[in-house]
Amino acid sequence: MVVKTLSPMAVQARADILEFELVNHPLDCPVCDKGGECPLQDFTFRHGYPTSRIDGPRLHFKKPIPLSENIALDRERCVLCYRCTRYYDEVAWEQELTVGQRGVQSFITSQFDQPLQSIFSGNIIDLCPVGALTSRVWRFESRPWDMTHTESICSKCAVGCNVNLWQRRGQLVRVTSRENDDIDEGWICDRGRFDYTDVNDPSRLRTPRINGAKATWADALATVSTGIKGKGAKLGISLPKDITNEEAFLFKRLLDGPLRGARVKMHGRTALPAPIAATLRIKDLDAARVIVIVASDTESDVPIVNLRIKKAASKRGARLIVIHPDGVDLDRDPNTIHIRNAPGSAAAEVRKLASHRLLKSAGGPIAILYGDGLGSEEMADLAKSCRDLADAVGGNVMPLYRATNERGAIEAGVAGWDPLDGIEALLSWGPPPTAGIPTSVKFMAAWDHLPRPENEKADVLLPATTFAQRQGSYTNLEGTVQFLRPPIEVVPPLKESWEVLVELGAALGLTLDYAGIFAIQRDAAAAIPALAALAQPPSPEPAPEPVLIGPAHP
Amino acid sequence: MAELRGSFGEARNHLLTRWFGTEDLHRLDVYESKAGGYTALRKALLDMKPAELVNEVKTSGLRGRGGAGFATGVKWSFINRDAPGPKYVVVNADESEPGTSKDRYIMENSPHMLLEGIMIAAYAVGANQAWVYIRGEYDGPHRMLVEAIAEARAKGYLGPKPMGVNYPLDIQLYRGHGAYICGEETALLESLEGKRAQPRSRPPFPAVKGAWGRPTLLNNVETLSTVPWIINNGGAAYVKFGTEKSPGTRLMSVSGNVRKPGVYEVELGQTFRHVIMELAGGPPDGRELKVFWPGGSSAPVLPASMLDTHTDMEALAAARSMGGSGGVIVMDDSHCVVKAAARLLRFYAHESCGKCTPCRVGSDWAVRTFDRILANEGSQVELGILERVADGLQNGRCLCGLGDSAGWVIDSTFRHFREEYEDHALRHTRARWWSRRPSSSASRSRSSATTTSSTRSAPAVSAWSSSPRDRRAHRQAARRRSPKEWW
Amino acid sequence: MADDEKTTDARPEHPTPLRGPDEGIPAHPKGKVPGVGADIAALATGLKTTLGEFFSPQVTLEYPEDKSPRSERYRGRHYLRRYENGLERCIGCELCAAACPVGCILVIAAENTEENRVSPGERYAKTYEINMLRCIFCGYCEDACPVQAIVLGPEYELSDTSREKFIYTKEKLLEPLPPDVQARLQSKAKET
Repeated sequence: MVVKTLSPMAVQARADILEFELVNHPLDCPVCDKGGECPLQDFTFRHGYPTSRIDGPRLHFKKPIPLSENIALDRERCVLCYRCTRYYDEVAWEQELTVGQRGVQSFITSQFDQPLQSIFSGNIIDLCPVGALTSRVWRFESRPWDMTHTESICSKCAVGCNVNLWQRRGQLVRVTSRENDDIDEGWICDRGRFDYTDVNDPSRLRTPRINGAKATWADALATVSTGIKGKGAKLGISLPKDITNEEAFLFKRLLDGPLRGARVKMHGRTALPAPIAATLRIKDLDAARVIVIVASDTESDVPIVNLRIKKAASKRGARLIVIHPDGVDLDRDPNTIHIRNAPGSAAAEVRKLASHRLLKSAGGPIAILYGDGLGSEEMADLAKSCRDLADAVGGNVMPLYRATNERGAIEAGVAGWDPLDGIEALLSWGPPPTAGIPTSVKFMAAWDHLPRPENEKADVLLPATTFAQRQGSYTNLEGTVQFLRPPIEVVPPLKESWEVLVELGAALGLTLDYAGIFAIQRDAAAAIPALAALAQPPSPEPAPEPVLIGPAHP
Repeated sequence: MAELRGSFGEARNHLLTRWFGTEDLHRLDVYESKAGGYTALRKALLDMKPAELVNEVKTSGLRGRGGAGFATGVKWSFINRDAPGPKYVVVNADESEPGTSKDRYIMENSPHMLLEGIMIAAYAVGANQAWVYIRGEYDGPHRMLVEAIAEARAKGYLGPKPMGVNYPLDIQLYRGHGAYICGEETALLESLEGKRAQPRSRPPFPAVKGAWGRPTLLNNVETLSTVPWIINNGGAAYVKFGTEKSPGTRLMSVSGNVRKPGVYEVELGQTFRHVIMELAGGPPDGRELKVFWPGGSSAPVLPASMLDTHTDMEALAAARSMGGSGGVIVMDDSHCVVKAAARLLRFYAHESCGKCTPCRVGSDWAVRTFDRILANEGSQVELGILERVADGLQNGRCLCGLGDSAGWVIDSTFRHFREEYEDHALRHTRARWWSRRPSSSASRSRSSATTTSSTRSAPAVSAWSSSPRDRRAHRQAARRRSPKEWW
Repeated sequence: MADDEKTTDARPEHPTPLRGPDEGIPAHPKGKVPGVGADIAALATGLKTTLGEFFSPQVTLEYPEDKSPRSERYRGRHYLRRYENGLERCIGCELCAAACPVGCILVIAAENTEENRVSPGERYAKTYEINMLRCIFCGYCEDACPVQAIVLGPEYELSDTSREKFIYTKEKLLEPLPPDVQARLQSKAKET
């Protein structure tokens, strides 16, 4: 088949359609957040008529309308491409977005004018080819040409979606998706997209403090080291969920050395044990004929994996078996088999599945995804039963870790799950421990980027960087190592985490002789087989934007 | 039985309407005893194989009567009868084309003829379930079909073993929701599935992936009603009627300025002069025929000078029009073609589903341009816009034919009545029509972004089929609306 | 050798012939040696010019007491305009900043609310700063503005005592325009 894209008829047709699109399109470009990166602008410049014959009044709607807390809808700008409603129907399996009226009066509306609830709603902003759906978080923050962006990794969960982080004047102003077909296929969830404003919080910590008074890093770290040194099991350490592989590697050195015996609790981590053998890749879900999801509400645990499951079910015809005590959104597929187990009995249900007719005659690969049921399941048993089932029916397993770099921290050996009761000294890195600060704590060092009420009692307060300033890498739940590219510089007195750890090591008497992140990555790659990819970080230069070529207007 | 307005009784070309007018023809027993009903179904189920049925229809050369005129037998053969899984027959009884009422004529007079055709088609393509998507406004036909289906069920023609053959058959009725677009085959399927009626992109065609993703045969009421005759008399007998490429007869619903509007069964290949002047009696006294739509409002218009065009599809295509749904709309010289085109465009703008840009925006833009022309505010610019909009709408730039139809209205009236357009737009010599434009000053000022106004549009009151009293009421209602309400 | 010659020949002639230090001075036309009379005549010509200017009307101005008239289109310091109802014209679109060749304009936009309406429409400039030390007064910002919010006024005496004072903030830019500029803009608006 030959498709002629440059024939006079095709050129004319493009120009005609663009003219039609602009008949009711308001001239909002100067105030529109899409202006500058708007496909309609680009196409009109490239393929449209050079002059306008459009006259008379245009169609008016009330604008802007809040579709949800994060999304604004401008119906006048809408060109009714139906990408958003189609995404909601086909990809997200939600029914919140629809079209009202018909003909030229059609407009996008949420179901019964209720705010959008879905965790996947933000993607319609990226999908919208005009400025009809815009982010209310980013609203009027900057024009596209004001910003620079880096290609980074989302730090909100273990899926490791690829994102672009956009900065203007040292502020993180926007997070957008970046397509990586092996992991996210261009989708990110609303947590990753909208949950970044803490980076720009004016009350962010910048200088170390000892008992509330400003101090130098050297003094602060010396105080910390005296407070936590030689405490053994009396020392508790709370780790953030988005600790990088490099930080985990350095921290492991500390744990093996001066902090030996300390109790470590990682934020948000599941009770899943380390993977025994090679686990399933996210992209392998596409080929799966049957997907078993055990003890995990994938929508909130691993949102983008949830979208992959939906794609496998609706586009590739995979059958879903869910073992979960409550309803999950995968039940929207009428063919889903939902086994409602009593909490804690998932392993028994998995064992029963071995004789299930679907798994016996799957006719293709089987994927078994298991979570920890938010701590309600006996994890070693469940992991074993899932692995046994996979061996029995010929599939593979995918443990659904929840904390961002849980798998990397497990590989590095720092992903603790220890209770922190009865400790005397606490090093609280990242947000304070979810269970609260034990009353037995006599010395507390907090290392965080925001002032929090829990940290007010801390003896030493260290300022931390955020994901937008951090170099390093994450290992996602399938074991892929991906690199963070910070868009925002670390301005002194703020220090990068690896630097702080090196200096803390020195204060504790352990020489960590690193002058930069690359040396750490090389050593970590050599020491930990799962992190071998750290030896060759890819170029930090963003991939060049594709240039649209085509004929000018007819 | 109301007075019949159209063909009935014995005549050489009355294949469908031969028994119309018979007392209680809509009753199963009357249909069987007097009109020889269900003999074709018996023959098909007991004596013929499905492939033979398809071949018979192929031999007959029957072409779809819904508008596109695709060969019915070929369409039937597209459905793989042996493929596993359910297949469906969907009957398009959503007759919403302005000026067309032939399906209604059939369903009101002889609903069993349609049912018989559906059952034969279902058997031929291997479907056990058929759906009749009937226009929501067709109350009477719906009631009659409900009764007819109940009768057929009671008699056992519909059910697990029709005529004793182990081939379960069932027919369900589905009432449409009152949108023109639902008559388009894929939009009809979407509507049938309970979704927003918008056309699907083709391929895949319904024969491969139709209702609920299953192979589906979609035929018009008239097409299927012709099938029993073909099975009874053989495809070869059918070919003897009509022209070589468009065999058979078709029902033409003649409306507008004629003395005897009605549904006439016409052998294809007759001239429109025969249909309009002889069958329908021509225009009223003292008036001259000016223009006619040969195939429903979607077909490009033909001027009176082309009355000798033949009714078969090839001749119409040569005249740059089409057979369409067989609705012949006639206008005499007391009418203005530009107003008629504007009215039709308003219909298309109102009925556009909003999926494809050219149809959604183009028809609306054309309406606004027509409004200016009719308000004697037109100029060369307006004519240029209309021409370009017509270009932009045609050539299959939309998923369905609605966009093309809107383009054809402008294109064909321009082609044949350029003078009249120029009188309106350039010389302003024609009467100023009521305008739904707001004042010209308001339209020129680029109002600020905060301005909002009502977005309601005109109700679809057809100026064609209603009585003069209705038309007057419609005009008055339109005047009462403040200009702001229109836009 | 032959090749070298060819290449030398192929070199194009220099557009102006190169000359040595003493070459190219045209020789004095023979037989016309100037005499003393010519010298006196030249002196008189010069004096005539000087004396003529001495008695001609004066054109210099005693700046800063007197100022020269400026063109209507003179591009001096910037002003941000308001609508007659007091709302700011600027919609914070940053097109001026995008057009600025030296990058001296900073705009940070924000959203109008019902309680705090600064400009018509949805968007206004929360921050609008021009670094006058960088500005080259090219007037591109005025051309780029879609709402004619920014205009370049007639003032050119912008000296000040500290660098910070050259960052013109929105308050300073929103000062009322000189009446003559106002009148000119209004007449221009009427024309279009």
